[in-house]
Amino acid sequence: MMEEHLRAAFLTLGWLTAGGYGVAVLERWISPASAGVRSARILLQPLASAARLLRAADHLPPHPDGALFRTAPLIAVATVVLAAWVVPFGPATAADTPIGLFYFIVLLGPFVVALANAGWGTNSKYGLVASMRAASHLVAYEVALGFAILGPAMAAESLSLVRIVEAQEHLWFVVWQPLGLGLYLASALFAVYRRPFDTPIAGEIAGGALAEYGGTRLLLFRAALAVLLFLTAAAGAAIYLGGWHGPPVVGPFLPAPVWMLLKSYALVALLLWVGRRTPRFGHDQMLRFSWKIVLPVAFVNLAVTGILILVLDP
Amino acid sequence: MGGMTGMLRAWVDRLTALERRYFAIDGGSGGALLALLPGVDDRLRPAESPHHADLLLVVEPVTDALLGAILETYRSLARPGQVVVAGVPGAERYGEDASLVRIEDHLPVALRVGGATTPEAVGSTADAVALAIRHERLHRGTAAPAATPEEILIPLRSAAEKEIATEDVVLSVGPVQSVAAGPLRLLLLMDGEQVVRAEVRSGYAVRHIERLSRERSWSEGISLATALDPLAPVSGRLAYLQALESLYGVVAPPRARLLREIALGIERATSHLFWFTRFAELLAYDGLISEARRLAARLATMAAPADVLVPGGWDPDADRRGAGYRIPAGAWEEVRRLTHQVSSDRLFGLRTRGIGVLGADRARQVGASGPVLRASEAAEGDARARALARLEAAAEDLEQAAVLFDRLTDGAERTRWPDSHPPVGAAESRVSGPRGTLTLELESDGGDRPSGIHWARPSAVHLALVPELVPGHTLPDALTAVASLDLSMAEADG
Repeated sequence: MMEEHLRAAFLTLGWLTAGGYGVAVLERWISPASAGVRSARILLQPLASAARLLRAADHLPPHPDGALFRTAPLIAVATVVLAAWVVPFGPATAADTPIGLFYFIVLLGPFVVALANAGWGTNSKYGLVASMRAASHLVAYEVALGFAILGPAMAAESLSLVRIVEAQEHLWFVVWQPLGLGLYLASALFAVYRRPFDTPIAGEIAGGALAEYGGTRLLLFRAALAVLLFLTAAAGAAIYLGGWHGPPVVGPFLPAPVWMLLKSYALVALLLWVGRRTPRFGHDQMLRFSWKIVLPVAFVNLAVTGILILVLDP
Repeated sequence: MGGMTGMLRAWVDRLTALERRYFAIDGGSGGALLALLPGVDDRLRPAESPHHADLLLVVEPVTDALLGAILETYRSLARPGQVVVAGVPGAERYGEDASLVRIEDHLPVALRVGGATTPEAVGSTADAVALAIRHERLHRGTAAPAATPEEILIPLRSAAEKEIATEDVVLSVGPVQSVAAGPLRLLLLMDGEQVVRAEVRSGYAVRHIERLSRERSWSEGISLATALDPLAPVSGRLAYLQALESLYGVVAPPRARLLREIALGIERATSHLFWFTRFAELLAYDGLISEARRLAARLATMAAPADVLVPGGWDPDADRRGAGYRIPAGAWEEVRRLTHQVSSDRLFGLRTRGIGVLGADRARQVGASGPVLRASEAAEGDARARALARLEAAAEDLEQAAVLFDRLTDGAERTRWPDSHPPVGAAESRVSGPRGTLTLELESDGGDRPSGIHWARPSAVHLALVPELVPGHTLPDALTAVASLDLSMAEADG
């Protein structure tokens, strides 16, 4: 029993490290700063960045709210570690809880708290603006993301991520719910604080919630953000792209975790590419997009999915 | 043990050299350099906050007014960290009496990278900065003296002025900011994220060009005019030379006048592309940044050094690069393609349409000129219209420069210049610079220096529009509106 727990813990840490590191490499690969000069050193740059931050002296802003400031990065890291617990990277690699999907969505909420606390804790005006923007992200993604995942839950007749993956053994949900995947990815962009929806940490407010962080604390936040993106993409791969199953026509010629990793990175690359092709939007535009476009389309998708389930029984 | 520690340190140094983050402070001449630098080397990346950076890059000139902000930023720099200074030292360029500061007297500068930051030289300077930074080892640095905080009082709104009982906040943006080329401070009275009122604090890049021009000789005045706007040296120099030639009653030969027009057109086009690169960076629109930066760097190779403009004409020997100034046939077509891409980009429109609207009547009333006026007269006068006006103007300038080049005929490039001082009189010169019409009024009393000089600078005129363009917008839109004015703070402050 203890061995199983330890094995699960190390596997989870391994996935998180590989996932976060891969996201950091992909970010640099897609960045315009690398255009035309991509080389193998991009693979080492996240390590270089981590070493630089570990070596940097810690910094405290003047008159901070010490408790909020110090605990914010820890909350961020704890959130992603707990969320990773239910994301399956292969058979028997995750906790098979009946409410895994619900648990994952709810666990994204404390990340908002981490960013809001970070901004508030710096006791600065840019931090205050950033913390309010972080709160607006919660309003933007929560309902939209919830409706985007209902279709697969209905199709699998379960909220367990493992059951949802198992239900896609012969046909991935994206084949007959393509709109659902689009809605999930749009909502995911709100939830992972990436362009075009990264206003809480935007450069126009000098990094916003992260402006006063440096050294190890900044490293923890950056790592947590990278892992958050990876986990959200991985959850999307599990919900819509068949999880650890290979494509039905191809079959399982790669190990299950490798399929899962490939699909996760594909979605990460897609999200980063979308961020590169769009300008940064204000939080008011994000809210408008979420509530006036994503949510109504999600209702339509839900109705269509329900009808398909009743009529076709795929 | 000591050997192992040394080896470990060396290994960590080599590893951390793979990615360096810099925080840049532009003293007024770094607009083009800072637009190019992120694309020069993938090991160098800009940081949003000084706490995230291990390098503080200061681009000259550094004035008394800006020193406080630089010291404060250095204190915020992550340790270990370094200070790198780029550009021509202020005292060397403007003289000892220009109220400029030698940064080495106040901070431990690890590296000084020489080289001009004007359009024709910025490419090689950016390469030099990147190369120098890559090889510099970080160390803990020393403490910087505390800066004396600047006290500013901003009146808040009374309860009667507010619709609901909220608390206003004054947000200080700058003097280190990304909306203008050079240091500028905006004091925004905010109700949540809505800007209620804006005040401008400039003067961080003032070099007293007019005062110095009155104190120095006519020939030294040419250098000062060239440095009025470090991002548009040809415009300033041409305005001064034309006014001086008018005082003397000298006319430059036809060939020289055509070459001057070509150089001016290329400078305008280059400046517009560098501005668009910075604008796209502010919008965080990566899809446009790469293309804009590539075009800007390409146009910069065609730019003429301002030294080729001499009293009475043109001196080709002053251009050691020998560019030739022939515009490649595809150059303006590439800019046109970018213009078409931007004009049909709905996402770009979502971020810029209806932002910072300036009506045509108001623009004419305040004396706006250049792309700002063109955008107000020919289109909606918003940030999008100003961006498109600049891109269209860049394409037109390049095409026109090519047409002028084809019209070049052999002939003299310089008129004989009188040995005496200019006769008593006054002259006015107008030049269409990148930011608008640059006007110079020059007076002579027959002496060895001007008796009167006055620059009407378009950036100063457009800067005065900020308090009326910004209120009513959210913070990101307010910053977009200011950035769309293409302010060169060195030119605005003079």
